[in-house]
Amino acid sequence: MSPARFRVALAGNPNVGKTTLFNALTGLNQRTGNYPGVTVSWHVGQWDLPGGGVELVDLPGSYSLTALSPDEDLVQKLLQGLEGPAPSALLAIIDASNPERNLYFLSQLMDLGLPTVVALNMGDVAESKGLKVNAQALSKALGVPVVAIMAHKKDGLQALAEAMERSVGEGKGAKGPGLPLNGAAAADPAVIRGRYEWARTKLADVITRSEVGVRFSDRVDKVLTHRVWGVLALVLVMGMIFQSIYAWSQPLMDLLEAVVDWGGKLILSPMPAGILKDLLSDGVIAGVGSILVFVPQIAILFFFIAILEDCGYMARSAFLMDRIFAKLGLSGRSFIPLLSSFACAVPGILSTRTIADRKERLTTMLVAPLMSCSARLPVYTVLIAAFLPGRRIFGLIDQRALVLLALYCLGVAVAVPVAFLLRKYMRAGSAPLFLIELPGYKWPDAHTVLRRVTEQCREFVTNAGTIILAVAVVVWALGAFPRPQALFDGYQARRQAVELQVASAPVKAAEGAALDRQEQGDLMRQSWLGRLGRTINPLFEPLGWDWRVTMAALASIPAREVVIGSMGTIFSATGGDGNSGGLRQALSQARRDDGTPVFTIAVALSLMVFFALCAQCASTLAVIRRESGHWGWAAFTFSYMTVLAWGAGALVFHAAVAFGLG
Amino acid sequence: MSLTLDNLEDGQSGTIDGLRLHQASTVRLMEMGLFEGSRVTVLRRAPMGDPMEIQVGDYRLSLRRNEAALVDIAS
Repeated sequence: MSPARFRVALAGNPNVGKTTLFNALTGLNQRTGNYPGVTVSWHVGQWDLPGGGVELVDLPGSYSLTALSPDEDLVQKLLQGLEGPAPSALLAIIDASNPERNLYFLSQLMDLGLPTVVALNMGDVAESKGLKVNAQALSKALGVPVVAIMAHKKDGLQALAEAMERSVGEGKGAKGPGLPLNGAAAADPAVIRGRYEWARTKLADVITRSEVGVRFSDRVDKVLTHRVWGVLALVLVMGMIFQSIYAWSQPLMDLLEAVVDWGGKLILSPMPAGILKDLLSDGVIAGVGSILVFVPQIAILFFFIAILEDCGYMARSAFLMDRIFAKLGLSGRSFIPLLSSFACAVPGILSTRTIADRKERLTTMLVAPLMSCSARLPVYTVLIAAFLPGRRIFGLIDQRALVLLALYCLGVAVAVPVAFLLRKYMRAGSAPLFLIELPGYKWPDAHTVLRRVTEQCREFVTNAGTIILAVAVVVWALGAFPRPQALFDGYQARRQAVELQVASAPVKAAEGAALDRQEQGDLMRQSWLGRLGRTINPLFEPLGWDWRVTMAALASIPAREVVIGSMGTIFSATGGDGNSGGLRQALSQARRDDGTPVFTIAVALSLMVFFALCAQCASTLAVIRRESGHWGWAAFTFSYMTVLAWGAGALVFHAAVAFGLG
Repeated sequence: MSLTLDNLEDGQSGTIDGLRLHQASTVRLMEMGLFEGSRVTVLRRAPMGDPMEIQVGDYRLSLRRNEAALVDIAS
C-alpha cells in the first residue's frame, strides 16, 4: 500500500450494500481494524482515486449517529478520529429503495460538514418496488455529488472515484439541515422529526412512484416467515448446514490428512532416528495436521453463515426465533451471536456488540461458549468415526450424524436454563427494544461470501493454529521428558536377550515390537505429563477416563481442539506399530495397563459430552474478559462450564455402561 | 380503549398517533421513521404470534407485541 493522501469514511445504514461496495472499491488491498465479523470490526483499505490512493474506512452499518449500540459508538469514534486519523471526507451509501430513512442518517452525516459524496445504490431493487430516484435531481437538492451505482455489478465506481477526487479537491463541506448532532439535543423528538422533514423536502422532486404487483422478495418473505412453512424452512436450512459439514468435510479432511502424511514422510524418511525426528513427527507434523484437518469445516460453516447474512435470511431467523429467546430474557438478536458461536465462540461473543442492552449482551456472551463450536467438531468426528458403528436408521439417517446432532443440541439444552438463571439473578434491567430490520432478499454477493470464508479460515490458522501447534510441541516435550538412560539401557538389554534366545523370525519381530511398545509406554508413564495425568486422574474416574485421556484433557485447557493433537501425540507414542495410520486407528488400538481398551463407546461418549460443555478455550475466556470488562465473568464461565461438563460426562458414562456400552 | 399497533390485524394499516415507550426506545423508533403521522401496516406475526412484521415507509421491520402495544394508532 502506497502512503494514503487522506482518509475517507464509508458510512451507511445496515443492509444497503456497504460491505459489497467497500470490497469492490478496495479489492484485496485491505486490512482489518479489529477482529473480523461483519458487525463488529472495521476494515481499512486502499481506494484508488484519479489523483492517487486514499485510505477508505468501512464504518459499521448504523441507523443514526446517536450512539445506542456499541457499534454506533465505534462509528462516532472513527468519525472523530479517536481510532486512527479523522476522515477528511465521507462516502455515504444510501439505498434507493428506502430513501427516506436513509436520508435521515445522511442528514446527520452531512451535518458533520465534511466533503461528502453520496453513492445511490440498489436502484434495481427500487425499480422493482416502483420507485425511481433521480440521482441528478437528488444531487441538486442535497448540494453534494450523488452517483448512481450498483455495487454488486461494480457499476458507477469510476464516476464515484472521480466525484470524490473533485469533491475533496474543492474542499467544500456538505451542509445538512444544521440540527444538533450530539447529546440529548440530538435525540429530541423535534430534531428527529426535523430531519425526516428535511428528508421529505429533499426527496419531493426527486422520487417518482408507480404501482407494481407483488414483488418476488415479498412472496419469498411470505413463505419464509410463515408460521408453518417458515419454521420448516428454518429447520431444513439448519439441518442442511450440519449435514453438509459432516458429509462434505470428510473427503476434504481425508485429502488433507493424506497430504500431511505424504509431506511428513518426505521430510522424515531421510532423517536419522532420534529425538529431533520424534519432535518433528509426533510434535510438529501431528500438530500441523490437526490444524489443517479443521479448515474444511470452518470454511463450510462460514460459507453458509455468510450466505444467510448476505441474502437477508439471518434477520428472518431472528424474527422467527425471537419468541423463544424472549422467554429467556434474550431476543432474536441473540440468535446470530449464538449461531455464530457454533462456528467459534470468539466471533460470536464479539458480535454481541450489536445487542444494545447490556444485560442481554452479557447473558448471551456467557452462554455462547456452550454452543458447540467448530473446535469441538474434530473431537466429535474423530471419536464418532472411531467408536460408533455407521448404522443407518430407517435406511436414511446415519446414526453417527444423529449423535453429532445430539451433541450440538446438548449445548443448546444446557444454555436454556443457564441463560434463564443468569437473567433472573442479574439485576433486572429495562427490557431491550426488539427492533430488527427485515431487508429485502437478494442474491448473496460471491465476493463478500468468499471473503468472509477466507478471512475466517486464515484467522483460525494463524491465531488458533499457532496455539494448537505450540501446545502440540509442548505436550510432546512434557510427554517425552525426562528421558532416563537407565530405562533405555534396560530395554536394550531385553532386546539383545530376545535376539539371542528366540529362533523363529516372526516371533522375534513380534516380541521386538512388543518391547518397543512397552518402552514407549514406560517412557510416557514416567514423563512429566504422565505424572500430572496420573496424579489428578482419580478426579476423572467417574467419567471412565484412563489417565492418558485425563492428560489430553489437561493439555487442552488453552484450546479444546488441542485435545486431538495431544491425543495424537500421546496415543501414537504408546500404541504405535511404526505406521502413522491416523489418530482414529491409534485411539481404537490404545489399551489400558490391564489390556482392556482405553476407549469404549461409554468413554467416547463421556469424553464428547465433557468437551461439549467444558470451557477449554483460553481465547474465549480472554474475549469474555475483554467484552465484559471483568476477569470475574471469565472465571465464572470457566467454573460453571467445567462443573457442568464433569457432571454430564459422569452421568453419560454411567448411563452408557448401564446400557452395556462400557 | 384506544387502538394500538398490536391490535391491528395482519394486512391492516393505520396512522401513528403517539409513542408511549421509555425514552431511549422512543428515540430509536422515531429514528426508524415511526412517529406521529407515520403510516404503518402490519404484515404478519411470527409463528408464536410474536413479534410482528410491519411495513414503515419503504421498508419492513420486526417489532414485539408488547412494544407495539405502546404505539397508539389514530382511530
